[in-house]
Amino acid sequence: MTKTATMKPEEFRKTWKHLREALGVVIVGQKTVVEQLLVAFFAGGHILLEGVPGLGKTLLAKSFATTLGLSFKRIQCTPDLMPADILGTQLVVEQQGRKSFEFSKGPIFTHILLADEINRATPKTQSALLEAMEEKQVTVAGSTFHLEEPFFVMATQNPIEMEGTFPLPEAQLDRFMFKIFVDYPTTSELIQVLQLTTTGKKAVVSTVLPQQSAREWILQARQLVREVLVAKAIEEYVVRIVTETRPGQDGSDSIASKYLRYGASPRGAQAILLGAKVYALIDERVNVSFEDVEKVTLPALSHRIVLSFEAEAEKRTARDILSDLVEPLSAHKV
Amino acid sequence: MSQLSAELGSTVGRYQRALLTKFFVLTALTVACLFALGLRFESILARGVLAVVAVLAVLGIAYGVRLRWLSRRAAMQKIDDTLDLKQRLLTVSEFEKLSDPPPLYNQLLEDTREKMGRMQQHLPRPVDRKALVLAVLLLLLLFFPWKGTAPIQLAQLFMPPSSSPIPPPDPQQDQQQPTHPDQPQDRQESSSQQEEENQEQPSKGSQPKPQPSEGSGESESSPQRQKSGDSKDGEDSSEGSQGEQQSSQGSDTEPGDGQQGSEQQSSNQQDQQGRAQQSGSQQEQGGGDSKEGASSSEANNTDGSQSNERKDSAHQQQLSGEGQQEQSAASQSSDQPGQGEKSGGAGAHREAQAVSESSEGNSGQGASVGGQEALRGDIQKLLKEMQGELQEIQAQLEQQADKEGPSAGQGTDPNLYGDAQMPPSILGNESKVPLQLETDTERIESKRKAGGVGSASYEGVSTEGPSAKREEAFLAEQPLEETAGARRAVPPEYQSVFESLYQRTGETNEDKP
Repeated sequence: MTKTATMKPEEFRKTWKHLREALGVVIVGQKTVVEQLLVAFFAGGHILLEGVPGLGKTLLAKSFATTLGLSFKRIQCTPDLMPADILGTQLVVEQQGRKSFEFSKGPIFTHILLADEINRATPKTQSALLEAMEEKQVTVAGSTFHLEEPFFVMATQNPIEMEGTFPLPEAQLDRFMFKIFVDYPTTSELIQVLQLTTTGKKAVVSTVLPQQSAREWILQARQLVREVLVAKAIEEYVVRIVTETRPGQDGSDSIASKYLRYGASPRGAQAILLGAKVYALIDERVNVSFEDVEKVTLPALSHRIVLSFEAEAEKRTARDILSDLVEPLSAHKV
Repeated sequence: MSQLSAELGSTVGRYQRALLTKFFVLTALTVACLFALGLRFESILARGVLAVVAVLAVLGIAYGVRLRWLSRRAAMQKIDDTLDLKQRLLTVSEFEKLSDPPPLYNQLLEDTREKMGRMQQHLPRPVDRKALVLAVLLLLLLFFPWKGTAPIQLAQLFMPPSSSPIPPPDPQQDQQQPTHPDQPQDRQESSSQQEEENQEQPSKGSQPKPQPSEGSGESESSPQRQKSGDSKDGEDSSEGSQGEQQSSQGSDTEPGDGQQGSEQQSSNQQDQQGRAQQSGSQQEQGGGDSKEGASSSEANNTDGSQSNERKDSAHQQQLSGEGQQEQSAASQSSDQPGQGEKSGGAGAHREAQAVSESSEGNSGQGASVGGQEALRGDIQKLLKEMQGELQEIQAQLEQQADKEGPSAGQGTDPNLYGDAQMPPSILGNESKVPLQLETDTERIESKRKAGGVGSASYEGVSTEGPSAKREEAFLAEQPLEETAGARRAVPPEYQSVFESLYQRTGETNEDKP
């Protein structure tokens, strides 16, 4: 039996607007980043923020958690970080003269988890997040612990420091719904940042959702997102975009065959459609349009495709290649 | 089927109808343009090419319509795109078939229906920019004078065939014709010359009559058409009426026998001349569109139409300064028709016209040479009377010239300015002196009426020149400049500190080892 959302789209839009305003007090500029962060959250995914240090990635994650009124934990990933440091560990506890093992929950047992500089952690530690991110559960010593919904992982990584880092494996990357690039602020934004951070002023993040009802409200919103209507033509369009990224689909002369080694997985199509549904709700619609799909294509697929040597040699980015792939499709949507 | 589907169906129907209407409008305009263009070409090859182009154009338009023709599904997409519905319609059409629609379907339906209400504004317009361009092109093709005027050709196409084709030109007429285009120039000559012409005209009295039968009205009126519309109307009606009368009344006349035809019409013309006397005042005031008033008399043509033309071109002549005394007098008489009628001169003038016309009509009936001489004598008498009238008018003008005329820019005349006032010195002189404007009569030394009158005010302006006052200079008792020695390097509040430093001995308070 399927649950029906009791939330109205108007209510969702209203709260969305308040969330944007509250985050805008602390996060200067970066509108696209904030928007994609919220889209991924309400679509039920996780995000990977990529950008150079000092752009406010950590501040964004903390402010976001505060705004939503949810629990927030942070893990600073280092090479010596162990999986137990994330998931938790069994401790020997003495009770009434008897010693027993008791599971001590790690920082992953939270609503919003910030894995800062995730590419500094070893693959072993990184893989500790795999099960949690996808299945929303943790298995330690044969015991499975369910994570409370909503569970949202925000990971950050620094693209320029490659020494002493461990690039995320494809399987790990695929679990992030969006990979969001955090760019430098503009001149005016930077001036505003300076005024906010180097004077006596202090921007305080306000909580939009009350803590008691925040969790319930977010679950309702996520349910509402899944009820947004999608026409068959839109679904076909999403599938076409995803299959277009696979090399060998349209012959060896295609862009995908030339520049890509691996294409997007079905998770990519799911991410596109869920993200498009959130965008439709924001745009005062209850149906997905082609425009919504195009908005989320790049953040949803840019980390899901593996570039070939030729693309690396020609210094072509994943975004360039995706743009080339999607452009001819957008002309023949139906 | 939901209400939205019905609305969609009707919208698609409206769209298709609008598209069809647009197709017919474009096709009609294209074909009309090519037809008008074809009228200008006489070669069959050119017309054939145009016909092929027309067929191709129609096929092209039809192909364009075919491309835009929408099925129901395509119409949904089109409406989605046109109204920026963002695939609402597409989604609705898919989910309406479901027996158990999803929860948000009703909201989508309402939303779509609300936005569909604006569809009417986005239907294709039957008359769009292309149609307007074609219409302008058609007008250009119709009225642009290249390779013949198409409207005239079109009119000839749709007119019934005339029973009296254009006869070959009369050699006498050929000799006389050059005088007609010169008529506007003749009007600019002196009155004495015109009087001489008037005296000469009776000698040619029998010759102008064949003109109407020759149908040479176009050639005669061609220089006059370039004048104002009133004069063109008057002349066209006066000349064209001759042709019409000939075609309607004398349609049995043989082609080329215009003189006979005019003779057959003489009785009718006499009746018409009588009516012309009744409507003479209207003619004099420029009501030249009455056929009877402008019936086929040369005198009436020359006088009546000229007076109309003079009335219209009076201001131009005044402005150009090339007007003549007689012409200005005529313009005054035409602009002030009451005066002419009151004086009775115009009445006599019209009688003279009528008599001359009747005499011409009689002469047209095949009178003998002796009768013609008698008629000539009558006409000369009448012309002398007319000369007397002209002199009276000149005398009146002289009287009016003595009075102060309306100043320029203050007249209430619809023509803005009053008539040119002739200075007495010029009026007294009957020689050919070009018309002078009123402003030219003002003396240079006389003060102008508006502006620039008065004396300059010298208030606040000193009449004296600049002067310098001498002042005595004295040397100061003490030098005002600060000397270097007097400068105090140490501020007063630190003076004691420095003094104590200067008085300090070389001993220190450090412990000696």
